[in-house]
Amino acid sequence: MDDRGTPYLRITNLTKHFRVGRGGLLGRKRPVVRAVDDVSFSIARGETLAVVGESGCGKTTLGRLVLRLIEADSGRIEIAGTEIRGLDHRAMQEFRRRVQIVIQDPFGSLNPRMLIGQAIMEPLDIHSVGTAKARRARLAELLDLVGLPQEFAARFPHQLSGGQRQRVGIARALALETDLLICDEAVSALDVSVQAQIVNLLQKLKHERHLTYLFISHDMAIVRHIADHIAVMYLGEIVEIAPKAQLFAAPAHPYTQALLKSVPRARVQERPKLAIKGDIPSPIDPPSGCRFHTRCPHVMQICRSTPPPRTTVGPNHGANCHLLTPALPAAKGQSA
Amino acid sequence: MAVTPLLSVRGLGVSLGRAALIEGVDLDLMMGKTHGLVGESGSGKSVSAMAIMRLLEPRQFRVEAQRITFDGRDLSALGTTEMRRVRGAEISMIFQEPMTALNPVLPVGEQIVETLRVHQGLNRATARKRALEMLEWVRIPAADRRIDEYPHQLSGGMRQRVMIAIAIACQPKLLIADEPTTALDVTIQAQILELLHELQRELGMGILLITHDLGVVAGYADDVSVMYAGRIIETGTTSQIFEHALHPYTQGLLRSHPPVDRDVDELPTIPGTVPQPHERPNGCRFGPRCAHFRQICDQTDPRLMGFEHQHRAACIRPKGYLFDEPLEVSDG
Repeated sequence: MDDRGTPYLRITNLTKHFRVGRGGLLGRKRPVVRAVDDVSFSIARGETLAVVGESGCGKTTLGRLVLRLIEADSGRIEIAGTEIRGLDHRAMQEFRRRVQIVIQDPFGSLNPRMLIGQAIMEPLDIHSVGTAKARRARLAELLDLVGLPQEFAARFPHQLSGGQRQRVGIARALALETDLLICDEAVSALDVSVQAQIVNLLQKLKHERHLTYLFISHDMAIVRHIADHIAVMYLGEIVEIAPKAQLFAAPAHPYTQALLKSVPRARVQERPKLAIKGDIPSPIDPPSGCRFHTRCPHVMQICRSTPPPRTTVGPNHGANCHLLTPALPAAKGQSA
Repeated sequence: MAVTPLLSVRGLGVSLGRAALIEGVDLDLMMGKTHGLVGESGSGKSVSAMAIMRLLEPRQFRVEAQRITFDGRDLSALGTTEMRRVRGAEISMIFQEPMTALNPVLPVGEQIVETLRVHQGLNRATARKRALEMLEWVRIPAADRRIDEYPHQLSGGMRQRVMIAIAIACQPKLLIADEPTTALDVTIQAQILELLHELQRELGMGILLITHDLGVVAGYADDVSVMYAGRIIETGTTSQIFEHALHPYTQGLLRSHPPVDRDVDELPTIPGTVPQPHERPNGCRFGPRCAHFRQICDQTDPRLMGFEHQHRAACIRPKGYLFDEPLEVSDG
C-alpha cells in the first residue's frame, strides 16, 4: 500500500488473540480477546508511523508482536525484507540488535539496584559488543547523545527525575545498532515541559541516526507533532491509515473524527466536543459488523452485521467505514 | 471583589519535616464557578487540596494558614467531628483513580447508600432509592442493574461516574476534583468533563479543578492559578492566563503544550526539571530554568504582584524588572 520503495518494517495480516479466564463447566469455550486482528501496514526507512487509539485497542500488543516478545497467531512481520516470525533464537538475537523498545515508565524497566551506566551498557554486554574500554567510550557517547551529564553513569535510577530516566531508556535502546525504535507511550507519563524535551530529543535522534519509529500513543497532539504516517486502531483493528497531513486535514473514519474533536484545546472556553457517547466496548467479544457501530453517530443497518472493507480515500489514505464504500453491497462490482 | 467567595484561602503552607511543600497559597473560589489549579508533578496542587480538606496526617505534616474560610466558617477552627460533617456533605472530593477510591468488596450502590445514611440519616430503603436516582443522574446506563455491581465490573469512565455520584449525593457546595479525567481515554474524558459541567449548573456548586492539563482548564475554568515549586506563581481569569500570560513559566507551559489543530516545527521546551522541595533555589524558584533570567532574579524572591484586575504574577519582569519601590537593576 506504500509507494515509497522497500519498507523497513512491513506487517501483513498480523493477528493475535488471547484466551482469557477459565473455560466454563461442560467444556464451554474460554472467551477470546481479539487484541490484534488482521493488521497490515508498512513503514519506510527513516519515517515514523504512529499507532493511535484508546485503551484496549491493541496498540501495545502490536508493539510487542513486532519485537516477538509475544508470538503472533498468524500474519507476517518483515524487517528489512526478512520475515522474522520464522527465525530461530540465534537469528532473532541478531535482529534484536536492530529493533528496540522504549516504554512508558522507565522506572519500571530500570533495575533499581543497577547504576545508570551499567543499565545503559547491559545490551552491549548481552550482545558481547566491543572491549571493556570500547564499551566505556560508547557509554560516554550515549550519555552525550541523550543529553545526560557524564556523572549520571554512577547514579541509581531513583536519583533521577522522570524525564532523565526516560533519557536513560532511550540511551539504552540506542546502545546497539538500532534501526527501528518502538516507542510505547514513551512520553505519556511526563510533565508537559519535560515531554517537549523528550519529543525533541526523539526527533533529533531520528534525523541524526536515520531511525525508523513505530510510535505508539494515545495522544493525538503528540502524534501530530512526531509522525509522518498515522494508523488509528479501534478494538484490535486499524480503522484508518493515512499520511499525517491528510489524516488531520480530512479524517475519514467517524472514530478518527471523534478522537480529534475530543482533544481539549488550550484555548479559553473552547470545550472538547462530546463527539461520541458510550463506553469503549470490551475487546473480549467485540461488537459484530463494524466494531465501532455501538458508538458511531452515523450507524446504519449494514454496520451491525457486515465489517466494512478498506476503502481508499486518497493517496496512501484508507479507512474502513461503510459510509465511504463507493457503492453498497447490492451494487458490488462497480469500480471505485 | 464584591461577592464573598465560597472558599477563601490565605497564606496556606504545608511542611514535611524541614521541607516546605507549599508556601503562601492564596485561593478564592466563587459559588457556581470553577477555579483551575494547574501545575506539573510536585508543584503542590494536591497537597493544597488535601490541606484545605484537612486530610493530611497532623503528626506528619505541619499545616499553617492565615485563614481557610468556607461558606462563612473558618475550617481551620473546626473540631475534628465538625470537620468530618463538612467533608462529604458540604465539600466533596473526587480523585484520579476511582478504582483505589472505591471499596472493591462493596457494590457501588451500597457506597452511595453509606454516604447518604452517614450524612443525611436516611433509612436504608430511602437511601437506596436515592442512590439509584444518583446513578441515573450521572447518566449510568441500566442504573438499576449497575447499582448492585462491584467496581471491577465497571469501566474506568463508569467508575468515575460512580465516584461523582457519591461526591454529589449530599449536594455539596464545593467539589474538589483532583485530576478527575487524567486516567481516562480522551473520548471518555470529554464525557466526564461535560457531566461535571452540567452538574455544576444544576447544583450551583463551586469546583476546584486540579489538573496538569491546560486544555482541560481552558475549556472549563473561570479562573486559573498556576503552581510552581510549592507556590502559586500566576493567577487570573482564564482569558488573562491563556491570552496574556505574564510569568515566563506559564508562557513556557502554554508553548510546550503541542497543539492538535496546527503544525509546529519544533516544540518549545522549558530546560531542566521542576526542583524537589529540598533543592529549591534561592531567589526566584523558576530562575534557573527561566529564559529571561537576570542577576537580580537570584537575589529576589518575587511574590504575587497585581497587574490588571485580578491578574497577578510572581515575576519582576512584567513590571520592567522593577518592584513597586525602586530597586537596583544590575543589568539592562
